[in-house]
Amino acid sequence: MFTAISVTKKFGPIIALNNVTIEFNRGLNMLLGPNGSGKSTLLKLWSGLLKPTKGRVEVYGLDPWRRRAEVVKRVAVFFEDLPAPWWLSGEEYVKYVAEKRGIDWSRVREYAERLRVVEYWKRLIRGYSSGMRKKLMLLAVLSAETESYILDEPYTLLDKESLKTINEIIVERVREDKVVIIASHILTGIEKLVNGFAILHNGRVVVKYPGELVEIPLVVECKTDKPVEIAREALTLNPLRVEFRGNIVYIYTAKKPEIYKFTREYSCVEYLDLETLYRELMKT
Amino acid sequence: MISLSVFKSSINLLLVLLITFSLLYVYFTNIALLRPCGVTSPVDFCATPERSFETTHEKLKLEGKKLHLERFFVVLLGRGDNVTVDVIPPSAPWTYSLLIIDAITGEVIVDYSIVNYTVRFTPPLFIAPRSTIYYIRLEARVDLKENAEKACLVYNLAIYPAKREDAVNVIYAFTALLLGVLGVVVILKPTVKYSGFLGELVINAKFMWLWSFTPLAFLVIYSTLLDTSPIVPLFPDPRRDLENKLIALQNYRELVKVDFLALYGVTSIVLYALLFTYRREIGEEKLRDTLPYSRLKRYFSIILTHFILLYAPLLVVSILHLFKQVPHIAIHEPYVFLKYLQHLLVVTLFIYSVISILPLVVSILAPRTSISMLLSVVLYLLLLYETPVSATLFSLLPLFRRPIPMYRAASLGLYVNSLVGVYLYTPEDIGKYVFSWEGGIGRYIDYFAGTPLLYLALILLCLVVYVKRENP
Repeated sequence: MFTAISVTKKFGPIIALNNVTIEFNRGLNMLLGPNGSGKSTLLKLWSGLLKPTKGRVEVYGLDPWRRRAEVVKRVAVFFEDLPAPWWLSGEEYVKYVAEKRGIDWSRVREYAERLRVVEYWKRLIRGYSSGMRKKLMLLAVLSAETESYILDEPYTLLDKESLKTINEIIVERVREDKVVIIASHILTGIEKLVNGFAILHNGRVVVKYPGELVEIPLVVECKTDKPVEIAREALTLNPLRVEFRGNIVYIYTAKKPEIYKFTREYSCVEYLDLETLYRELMKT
Repeated sequence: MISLSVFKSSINLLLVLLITFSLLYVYFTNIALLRPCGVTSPVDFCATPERSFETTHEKLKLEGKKLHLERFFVVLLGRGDNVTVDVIPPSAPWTYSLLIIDAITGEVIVDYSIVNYTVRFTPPLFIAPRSTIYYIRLEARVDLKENAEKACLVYNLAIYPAKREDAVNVIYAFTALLLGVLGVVVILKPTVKYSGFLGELVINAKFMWLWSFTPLAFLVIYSTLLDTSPIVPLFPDPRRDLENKLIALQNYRELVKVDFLALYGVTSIVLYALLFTYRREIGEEKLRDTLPYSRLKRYFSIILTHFILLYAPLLVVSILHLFKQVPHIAIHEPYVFLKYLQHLLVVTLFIYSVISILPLVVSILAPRTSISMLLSVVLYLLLLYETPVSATLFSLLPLFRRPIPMYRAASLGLYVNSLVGVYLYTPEDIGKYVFSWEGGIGRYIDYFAGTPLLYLALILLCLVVYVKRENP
């Protein structure tokens, strides 16, 4: 659905993306990487804001640069550096977006209440704090009934409660079988739902999934009344480390066949350990 | 629901309006100086038995001992304006005749004649009973003592505008603006919709209106009040045909005086460039790019919003003012009046759309507020000398479809002069600029093929650049 084939993007002498090939499909997809790695540039290419210098970019088979309006009709887009129109009230801005996207107002209101934006959206945006602005902008994007969502750094500046609500909404979208692409250098726990990811560094893909023959560590998460027993059992799998958080045991391990048997036996869930992978890669 | 912020800004706005109104009212009722104006006979206005001085509006003839002057004026006066027409003949006795007719209804207002036995006399004072176009015929017959080889004469038409009219203008303009602002803020704002092209206009307007509309509306009002010069020293007789009446009205330049136009133009263009580039600099363009709406339509919506907000005040106040000033014409000659309004609208639309193009080019090609602000002023000053020609040609377009008889050519010449004069020259210069009909079609084709095509190319260039531009 979202493909970049041998894409290079230059800004004058600066190479923002260098021969990048990535494909993201349904579910949650994450773009990870430090600042300046090219995450936002790739998302802007998919949103039709930029034109690739070399290579091909496609969204639902369409060229976003040539058919931006059609693409953004199907893809709701949030960029961290998008300004909130400070001369409007929050409600006016969201109303404008809702009418442009044909979103039902009751749906917008429902999300606004969840994010607690209704408490302040009648005021002019210029009086908002950075976090309030961010929530408003995320509300405008996440309340859209589109097939896909592109979110560039959605977590910075948010308080814990708002972050949790945002993640809840993202999970709903993922469960609705929508495509969600998040670019971030902060991992908030939502990555356990990840269906595809890419780690970028200096404009190049370091690791991507699916499609890369790289050993990706796993996290096995077990919710149990007997955490010590499960942890002792997990040690037999020779994991990288085991952690307890209340009655949840997290087993960090490399990919092994016996892990799946263990997961089934103790009714645990397993997911890619992006945090460890990302940390290790950044070290090297 | 109207949010508190709306009330806040409305109250502020009303406060500013009230203060401005009071200051202007005080200025025009107590402090402002009268601005007399008039027309004087040409230098060395003399006739000999062999050579009379004769034009369509002016005749000085010497026959034996008789010197005969006939002079026609067409003036647009406001109610209460004072007019005197003075004559200094070479000798006495002499007869002074003054005929003042309401050019619209044909009603004779003044028919005055007196025989003077001294050279100097106190001319009668005419106080205009209503705002309309007046046709003034001055006649002087001098009995010379002996046959002369040359006889000279001096006349002077002087007009003293009534201050009362200026003060009344303040009330009209203020009321119009107040109603306009209240209409937008109280009625339209809460019911506004954002879908489609109209929604784009509304959202653009919300961004711009406070910066552009308000200061420019004040500028318009101020300029309206500053210049109520009533004189229209024109010829020939405006009763002769519709077109001449239009010419007379065309010189009605309360709102199109050149210094005002330059001021308004520069202000609006700087604002235009500033707002256009500011949107891009703060990233508002990018925000709008993330919504499913084509850039092509957005380009036109932005242009249209800029146009409406920057020039609507000028046009609306101009038309309102016109209605106030000349309702008499509107009632008695509605066709002429409507035709004039249509003309005013077309010319204004054309001129200001043309003026708006250059800052647009600058703003799009160099989307930095500081650069475009500076460049747009420079470009505007260059444009000021180019626009009237295009506008004139544009307004003459329909006439090229048929042969122009001589008398029409003469009146068209005036028409051109008045337009060019209005937009390019100071009132004193009107008439000096000779639009060369002898130059033939070639000259017009130069402009037709040149200026308008250049503007068209610029609009398209802007469109292409705007639509194709990246938004990093």
